[in-house]
Amino acid sequence: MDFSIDEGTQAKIYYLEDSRKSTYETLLRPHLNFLFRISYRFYGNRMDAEDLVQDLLVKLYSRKEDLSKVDKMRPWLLRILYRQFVDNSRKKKRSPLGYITRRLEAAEPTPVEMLPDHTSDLEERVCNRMVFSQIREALGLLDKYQRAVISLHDMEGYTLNELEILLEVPLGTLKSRLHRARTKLRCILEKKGTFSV
Amino acid sequence: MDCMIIKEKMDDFMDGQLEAACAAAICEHIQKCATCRKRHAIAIRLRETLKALPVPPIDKVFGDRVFRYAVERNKPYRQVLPYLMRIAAAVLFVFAFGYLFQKTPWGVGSGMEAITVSMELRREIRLLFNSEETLANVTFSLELPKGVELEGFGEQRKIVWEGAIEKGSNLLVLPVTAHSLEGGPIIAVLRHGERSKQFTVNVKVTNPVYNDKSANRPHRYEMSIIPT
Repeated sequence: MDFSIDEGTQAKIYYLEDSRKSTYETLLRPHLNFLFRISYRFYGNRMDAEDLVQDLLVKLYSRKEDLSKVDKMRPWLLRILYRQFVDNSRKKKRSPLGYITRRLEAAEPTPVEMLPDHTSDLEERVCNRMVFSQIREALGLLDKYQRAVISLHDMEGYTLNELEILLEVPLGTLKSRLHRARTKLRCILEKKGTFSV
Repeated sequence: MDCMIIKEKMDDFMDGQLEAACAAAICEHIQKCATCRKRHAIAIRLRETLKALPVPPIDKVFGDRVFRYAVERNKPYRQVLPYLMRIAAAVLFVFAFGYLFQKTPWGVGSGMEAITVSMELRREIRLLFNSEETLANVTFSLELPKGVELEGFGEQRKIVWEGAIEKGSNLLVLPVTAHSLEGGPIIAVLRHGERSKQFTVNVKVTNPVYNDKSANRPHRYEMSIIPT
């Protein structure tokens, strides 16, 4: 008995694989910028943001059959991105490599500092960059939940009621996280003299 | 209204979460009190700055790279790694490769390490690859000495597969069993493009009757490979 796969069958197998891949890419590629932007908000650096998007896409590939059944893709993606962020932050906290990475990053200019600035006044430009840099540094001192809620609420403009549904986190918990995050952020920035009364 | 209460309620006030009467009272206080007015102005500025925090554009090649990587990572042979990790119930031997690819010198070359295993007893060799960056299309090859078998591969002496290495730690657990006293070198080679790195572990096999305590002692070796 011959068990070898004839050329036609082989071609069908490849075709099936290609079509699955293309569906997966077709559905997710339009959301890539969105995923990167939110990831960047969470982490404040390109490297970790790209890693988070990559981890998410690897995970989604194994669930590619479910993708076409998702009704509203963007809210669904935001929810799993948030979960992946929490998960990755936990892993990073356990890893001794995280500390080394953080120290190395601190010595390098942040992407914000390397961005071209359209502000005409030089003094204002320098001041803006300093403020951005200090805020980013202060955000890095918040815990993962506080960072996530401040990123989504204060930066991306989601309301707490929207986040309650999107992240499946109780409203009270979100309120308390946001309150603590803002208080801590203000406290850090006041100490630095960035935003002091 | 007291300034401390205003400070406490400032966020709720700005979020529009307060009842109309309370919000009006705060509004009135802010107009009269210079400190609270300043605090309010700072809070507005902080919120505006947070919203204005720039996000750099996505890397042009990132999209292609990440989709290719996701497909690569989900190929069946990649799933051998977690399977092998799961069956590693007991840590018997640990090897650590440090950073994967050294800038110089390139090509084959590395130290030789030795381990002792007891014949017919399953042992696990752990290879820990640390990489500074994600590397796709890495070719792994493993050469086993005669009489040493990798679980699930029978008498196959050379095993080659392709995969990707993630940034950070990558663990590969190899459950091996020695069926003869001959022993010999286990050679692990990693290839990425034109570059390759070889690591050799010399396996010494002892008779199972002889209770060699060193055979059960964990080992940890390091080697550095840094991508250019």
